[in-house]
This record gives sequence, C-alpha cells and structure tokens, in this order.
Amino acid sequence: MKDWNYENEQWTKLPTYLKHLPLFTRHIDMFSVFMRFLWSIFLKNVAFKFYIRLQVKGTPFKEIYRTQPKLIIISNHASHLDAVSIAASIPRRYWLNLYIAAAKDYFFTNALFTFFSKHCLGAIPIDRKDRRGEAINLILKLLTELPRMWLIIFPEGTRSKDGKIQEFKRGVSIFSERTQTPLLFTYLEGNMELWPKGQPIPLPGKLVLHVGPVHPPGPIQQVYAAYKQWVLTINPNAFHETANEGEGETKDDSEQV
Amino acid sequence: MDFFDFSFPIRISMPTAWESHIYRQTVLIVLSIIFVSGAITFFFRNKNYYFVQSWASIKSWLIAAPLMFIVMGLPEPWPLVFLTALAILGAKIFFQIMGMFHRSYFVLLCYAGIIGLGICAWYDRLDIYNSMPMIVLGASCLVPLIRNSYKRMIQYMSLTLLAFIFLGWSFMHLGLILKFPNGVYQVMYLVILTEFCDNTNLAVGRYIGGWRMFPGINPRRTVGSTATSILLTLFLAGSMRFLLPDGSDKYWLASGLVASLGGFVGDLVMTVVRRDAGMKTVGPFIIGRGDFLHRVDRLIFVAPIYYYVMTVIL
Repeated sequence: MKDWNYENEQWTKLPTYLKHLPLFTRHIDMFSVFMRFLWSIFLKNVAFKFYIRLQVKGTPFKEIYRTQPKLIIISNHASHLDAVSIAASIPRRYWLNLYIAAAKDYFFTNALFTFFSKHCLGAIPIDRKDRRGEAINLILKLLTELPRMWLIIFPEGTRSKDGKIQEFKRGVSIFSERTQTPLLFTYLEGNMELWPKGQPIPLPGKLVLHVGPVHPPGPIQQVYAAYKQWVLTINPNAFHETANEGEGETKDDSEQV
Repeated sequence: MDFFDFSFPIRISMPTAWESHIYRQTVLIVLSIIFVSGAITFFFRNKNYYFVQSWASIKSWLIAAPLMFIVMGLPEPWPLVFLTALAILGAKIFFQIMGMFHRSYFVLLCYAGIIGLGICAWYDRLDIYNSMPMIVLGASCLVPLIRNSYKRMIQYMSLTLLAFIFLGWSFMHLGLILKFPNGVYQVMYLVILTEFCDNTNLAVGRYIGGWRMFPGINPRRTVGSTATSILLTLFLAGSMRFLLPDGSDKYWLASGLVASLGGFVGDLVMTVVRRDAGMKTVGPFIIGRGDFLHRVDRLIFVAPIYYYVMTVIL
C-alpha cells in the first residue's frame, strides 16, 4: 500500500509569521479571508470615507486588473497610511491577490501586530537586516508561482522624513526584472500632512492617490527616472532640488539594500 | 461582609453561573492557584527545562482560565456556542496537521457537522446527535462526485470522518454535559482535572522514572509518572467534588478516573496522529506550550466516556 501524502508543509516547514502566505497551498486561509473582509469594510466604508477622504485619480484599477495579472505597485512613502491607502483604493474583490511588503522589524514585532499584518494586510515580512536574501527569495517565489499577484512595495525602503521622494533602492528592480513583472506607478499626495513620521495617529483630511502608467521591468535608475518624470507632472516639488542629481542615480548598487 | 455574598448592581434577566455562590468560589480558588503558581514560577522560569515548561503552561492559563470562566458564566446558549467554536478550532488544527486544510469542501462539511452537533445538544436531540457521523460520512462521499475527481478522495473522506468523530462528536459531548444538572460546573471540573493530570504527568515524568509504557509513541510516559498523576488527579477530583451535583464517593472517584485514564488515552491517540503526520505542533496556542489541539486532545476521550458513565450513575 502506498503511503498517504499529507502535504502539510505549510504547517511544518514555515515559521509562524509566514504561514499566512500561500507558499505551499496556493490558497489563502479562510480565517484570513474573513478578517480581510472585515478590515476592508472598516477601511473602505469607514476610515477612508469619513475620517480620511480618499480620492483616486487616473486609470481605474478595474481596467488595470484585466490586463495585468501580476503587478508591482510602487509609490512614494511618507506615512503609515500609504499602504492602506493604496489597498483602500483597490476594489475588494481583488484583495485576495493583493500583498504588501512590510518591514518585519516593525509589523511583526508582537502578537497583535503580527496578527494584523498577517490576516488584515496580507503582509510579506521583509527583514531589512537580512543579508542572505530570504525576503527577496520569498517575494520572487510568490511572484513566480502565483497566477495572480499584486504587490505593494515602497522602493524608497523607509518613510521620508520631509515628504520629499528619496532615491529608490534596487530591490524593486530585482523583483520586477527577475520575474518579468511590470511596475505600476502611483503617487500619494497629502500623506505627509496627515501622518508624518513620529506622529502617533493620523489626522483627518484629504488624500489623493494618483494612478500612473504601467512601466515595463527595467534597471532601477531607469525606473526612478521614469517615475520622477511622471511625478513631476503632478507635483513639481516632490523631489529635493539638488545640483548633482545625476550623481545619485549612478551610485553603486551594492551600497543600496 | 461575606466576600461571596454580593449581588450584581445590574440584574441580568437570564440566570448565569456568575450569580451562583459556588461558581464565584470556584473561580476564586482556581484563579488563585494559577496566579500564585505563576508568581512563584515566574522567578524560576529560566532555571531549567522543567520551569520553562511550567511557566509556558501557566502563562497560557493566565489568559485561558479567566476567559473560560467569563464565557462559562454567560447565560445559555453562549457556553454551548463557545464549545462549538472550540470544536471548530480544534478541527481546523487537525486539518492543518493532516495537510487537507484547504480541501474546502471537506473542511466546511466537518464544520457544518460540528454546528449541527451544537444544535442537537441545544435541543437535546441525542438521536440525531448520534446519527451525525453517518450523515457527515454520507455527505463527504458526495464530494468526489461533486468535484468529479477520485484522486486521494479515500484519504480525504477518512480524515474528514476522523476529524468529525474526534473534534466534533467526541468533544461536543461537553455540550451534552452542559445539559446535566450543574452542567457548567461539570464541564469546568473536567477541564481542570484533565489539564491538571497532563501537567502533573509532564512535571513528575522527569523525576519519577520506571518502565516506559509506549516508548514508540511517547517515551516520556512512564508507569511511575502516570500512576502519580492519576493519584494526584483523584486527590484533586475529591477536593473539588463540590462542583458535582452529588458529592458522594462514587461520583468523584468515577470522574477522577475517567479524567485521568481517558485523558491519558486521548493524549496518546493524538500523539499517534501527530507523529504519523510527521509534525509536532502547528503553532503556539495563546502563549503557552503546544497548539490548541494539545490542550483539548485529552478531552476528546474524556467527554464521551464521562457523559455515558454519568448517565449510568446518575
């Protein structure tokens, strides 16, 4: 008689903070589905309706979803509102294919944060100090093997202190080029004013999400230049005015995480 | 002023266990024991393996015990709803261990069966309750037809039935016990006894050796540790007999023996399941040792045996 194959790798091989990711099962936990539904109701129908007035400008996500089963959504990053703002602007029915790259040392620090990050955000933990590339491999595996996946990632790596867009780190290009996943440009206007770094809770107000063009995979300098060109058409003051801009763009990639 | 002789400022229309003097006394005794042992163990928590394990167990009960008392003290049917939710959680862990958690048809069928058991327990329909395993088996046989697939279906049907029998039919006997006179107390009595027996066996196992009873399954269970844990559980069963509707010897002796021996078998059977599936634990339950199934595996044998023993004795 043949041995039964239990296929329980999801529960035997993965650490707790990765069990929510469909790495072996290709399915989302029903509990996560339920929690994400509750979170989407709070986010879309309460928080981003009454407390923060979110306005989406540009191509509707519905149209993009039809042509782009896999996409890396990049945006400027100045507050903790950013990822949830983008998620709130994406229709609920696409949420189960939506993932957010989140710093492991912040979003997976205690049981409560881990629960929220896993089940509500669908967060993929990124260990910022990891030099073995485990987080990169994790995202590459998901982008390669899942039939549909939208990944929200902030190429600046960390929140901007002054609201100006910083140099992009090369991780985004690695994911994009190795898996041939196109990039969707988005720009959040007003995030810095609503929840700047160091402030405990967000302020009520208006937030605008600009949805831009889909950019083909390419080296980070090229992506940064294209993103900058697009953002400048919306906000000419989004970047630092530096005399030697070109120098930053040609910086050695090995210095960047 | 008598500590236990206070009345609630807001009257709750339905009678709750919290209004009973015995319930409040039990809560105070059990929580005092847990918190005092927690306070003592806290200072030695890193001393050796034994204290690490003890602290982990007490930590989980520092959260789980007050939660259990709050829920069991709620008016009906909330304790039964709580037990049904626990049975579903146990089934979920079982399906994860057996690697078929995402075979949604089978999983949902088992959950629906467990909810059905909860409804049967609420309406005292023991006839339908005892027919539920057949109903679930029959329904799970239809899944391959609906899916138009035969691959591994025998495995999935068998495991669904096993999950339903263990975590549904067996465990939900606690719901039937709730319907006994002072049912809430008897459920708590069983939970406390089985958990105490498990912890005692683990604790004394390092110090009392002897012949290993099942070295191929669990090498830590020796004759000495098992006998000691049974004796200590019987002592606790006698000390807490005020929770039973009748305090005479045969009731607490029967309860103590069922809790310790039935729990012992339940623990070993679930160890067999875990070992065959090639895994020890799914993840931590609250903050203690083991997963949720570790905490309830003893009850899946204790609950039905206790139910039928008490039905005969009462």
